[in-house]
Amino acid sequence: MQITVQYTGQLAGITGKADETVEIPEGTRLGALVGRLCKTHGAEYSDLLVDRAGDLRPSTMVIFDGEQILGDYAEIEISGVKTVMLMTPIAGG
Amino acid sequence: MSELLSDLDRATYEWQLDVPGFGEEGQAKLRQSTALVSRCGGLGGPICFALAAAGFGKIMIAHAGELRLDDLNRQILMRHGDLGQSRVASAKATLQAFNPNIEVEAVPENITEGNAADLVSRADIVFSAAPLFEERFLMNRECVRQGKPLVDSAMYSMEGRIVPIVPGASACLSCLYPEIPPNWRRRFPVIGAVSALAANIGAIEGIKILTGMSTSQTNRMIYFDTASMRFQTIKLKRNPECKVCGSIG
Repeated sequence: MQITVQYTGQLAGITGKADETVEIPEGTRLGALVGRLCKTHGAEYSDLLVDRAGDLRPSTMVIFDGEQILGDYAEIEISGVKTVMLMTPIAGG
Repeated sequence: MSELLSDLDRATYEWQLDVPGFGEEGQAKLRQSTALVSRCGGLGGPICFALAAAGFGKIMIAHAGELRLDDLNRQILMRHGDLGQSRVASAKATLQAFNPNIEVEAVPENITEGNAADLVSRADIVFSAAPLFEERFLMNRECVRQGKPLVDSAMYSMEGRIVPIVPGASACLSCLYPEIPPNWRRRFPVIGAVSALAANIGAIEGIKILTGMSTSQTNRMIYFDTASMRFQTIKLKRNPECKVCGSIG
């Protein structure tokens, strides 16, 4: 299945893009997708999203098709989802 | 005709009294309301301007420090001639010149553990526009504890996020961000117009919460990216394990 990964804030700055299309198998776990994206986009990107153990930082918001997702991020399945939005905290004023 | 509005109020706010669902009742609510705005920089400044224009009875502004040259691309309450002077004093002077019929209290301090509870207790609504999560979390905690509505507005580069929070009824800031983000940097890329856009959306949401004039976007984040001009609302969820609001409502 094809999904669109939307980037916001610092992630958009690091990747230089607002979104990208990614091909994944139906039912891919969110943790696996994030791991793949971290390998693609490098250390600065990874450091924002995940901790040293590779787990998604608690303050990273994950949004599937416009709705925030809560739970065990690593195990959440991506099924029937068109857009995954990753949002790291911002506090600019 | 509401006895809560003076002839001067009716003359000043005549055009907004015509807004459906607002009217004299909405104006009277604003006239009786006190807003606390944390920081009066690129985001807090335009929030204050919008609240002053709308006719809030009182605006309390909390912001420490003196005006610097590199503030002036976004901090629209400030004046070039005030470089080196207190930011909050400059902001107060601008607001009072713009609308002398409201009260403005300048608090030359940032939000801290020592003043948060008192400042929030004196407000009917709080607007959070601080560049540090420590301050935002303090205001969030106090608003939840005291049952006060909070509008958290933030921006970064070309992007803005606004989260209206009604304690017990919607996700709070700590539901979204359970910890102080380790990678947030105090210096962030900013164009003043983006800050002002986020600020004005935040001000509108605050006015809606106070007056009930239309449905506020509680349990929603209003997100925009002015690079692509993408605007969307994101459905939020309360976190039942939230250390701040998980046990209420």
